[in-house]
Amino acid sequence: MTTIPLLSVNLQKDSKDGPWLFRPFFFISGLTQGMYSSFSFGVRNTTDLYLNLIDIKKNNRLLNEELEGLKAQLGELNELQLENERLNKLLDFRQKSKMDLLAAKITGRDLFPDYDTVTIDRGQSHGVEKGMASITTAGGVGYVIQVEPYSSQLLLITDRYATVDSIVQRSRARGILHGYTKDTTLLKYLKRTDDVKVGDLVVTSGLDNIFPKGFPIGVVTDVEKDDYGFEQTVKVQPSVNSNNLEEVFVVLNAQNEDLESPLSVDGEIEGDTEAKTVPEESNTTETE
Amino acid sequence: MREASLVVSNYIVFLLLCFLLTGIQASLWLQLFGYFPGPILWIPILNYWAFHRRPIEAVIMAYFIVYILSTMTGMPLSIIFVSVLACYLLIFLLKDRVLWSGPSHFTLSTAISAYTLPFVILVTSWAFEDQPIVDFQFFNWILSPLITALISLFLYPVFIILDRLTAKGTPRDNESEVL
Repeated sequence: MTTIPLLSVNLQKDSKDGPWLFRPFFFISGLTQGMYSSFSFGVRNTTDLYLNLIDIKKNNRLLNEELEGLKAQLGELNELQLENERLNKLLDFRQKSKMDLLAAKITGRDLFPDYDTVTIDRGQSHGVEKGMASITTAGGVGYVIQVEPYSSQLLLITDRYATVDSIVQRSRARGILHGYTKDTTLLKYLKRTDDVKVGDLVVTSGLDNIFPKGFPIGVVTDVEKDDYGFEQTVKVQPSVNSNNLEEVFVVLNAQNEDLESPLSVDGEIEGDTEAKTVPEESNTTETE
Repeated sequence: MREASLVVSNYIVFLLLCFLLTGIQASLWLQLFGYFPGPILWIPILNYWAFHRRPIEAVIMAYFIVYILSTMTGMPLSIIFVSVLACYLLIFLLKDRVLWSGPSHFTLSTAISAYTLPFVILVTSWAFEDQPIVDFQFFNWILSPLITALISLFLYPVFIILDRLTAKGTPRDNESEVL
């Protein structure tokens, strides 16, 4: 009974005091274990990395898909916002105008690019008649040449067959506006002595009661006076770009409205920057 | 009697297709691609009829096409007539002089007639209009026929199916054997 405690005292192990013979074994064993451990860590890390990479790739794909979806949504929202702004402007213009206007959407274009006509989604059943004018908030667009029950064809002012009775706002020189190219019209039958300058605003005369009086058509970009002859050639850039048309108004009844003074001067009619600035200059000249 | 009804049904089917294709050209293309140059989708029909029908049948079809086109353009009827018939004449003269077979032959002739069309219109305009064309839309002239030719490759089988449906029979490849 007395030997047991003594034995237990002797058997108490102190690592520092282990026999020297075992030390290299411990050392190698520790080294080996360490090696295995670092190897297993390495493998685990690599596997984790690989697995993570798979996950990352998967997540990346999912996130990309989500991003694409959100981008598409954003695009749609932007488009809706733009449409909303456009429609708001149209609505605002319609409410302020005295004219009887019908909003229409462009549904088709001419089959031949050398001719400028568009199809709108409003026709006879909506009150559209042949010869009615079509406008946007930026200016005159064209007029109706063909009416069907639910659609109509508009001849744009840039078409070579289109003519609009117009005047130069500043000098009141009167001429007939003819279509010429996609982005140019010609103001014809102006006398050689008529005062026309580059930058002058050309507006509708309103004499036909098709277009409202004083509605902007375009800005003079070039004036050519031949050495001989009674006329001058005036090139006019339309204030409406026919390649960007989406919605238009059909003037059901112009009501003899004179848009020259109240709307154009206040800047309510939105057109080119040039078209906006020119009337101010021209009005000062006019009052002089 | 049955033969006549088949001929009429063949005309009707192709006229409906012509309406559909010109509608795509005038409206759907605008909605999808805006004012980017589009294909001239009635030209493949004119080509197909010029190749696989008797001249009288093809000319009647050309007349129908003219009336369809007139509903979707501001071009005067006389100029559409001259342009479409000139186009047909070109294909007619061409069809026995190029020895290709099947769709490639068809695509080639469609491309040639589509590339010729703007020049035909230009000449007609200068000959008949008071205010002729002065706006040369080269980008349109190059791109539009190219797209037309590409699309015609896919339209050719559709035309063949329509012909089979109306018991016209499949067009033969050896139709351009005379040099």
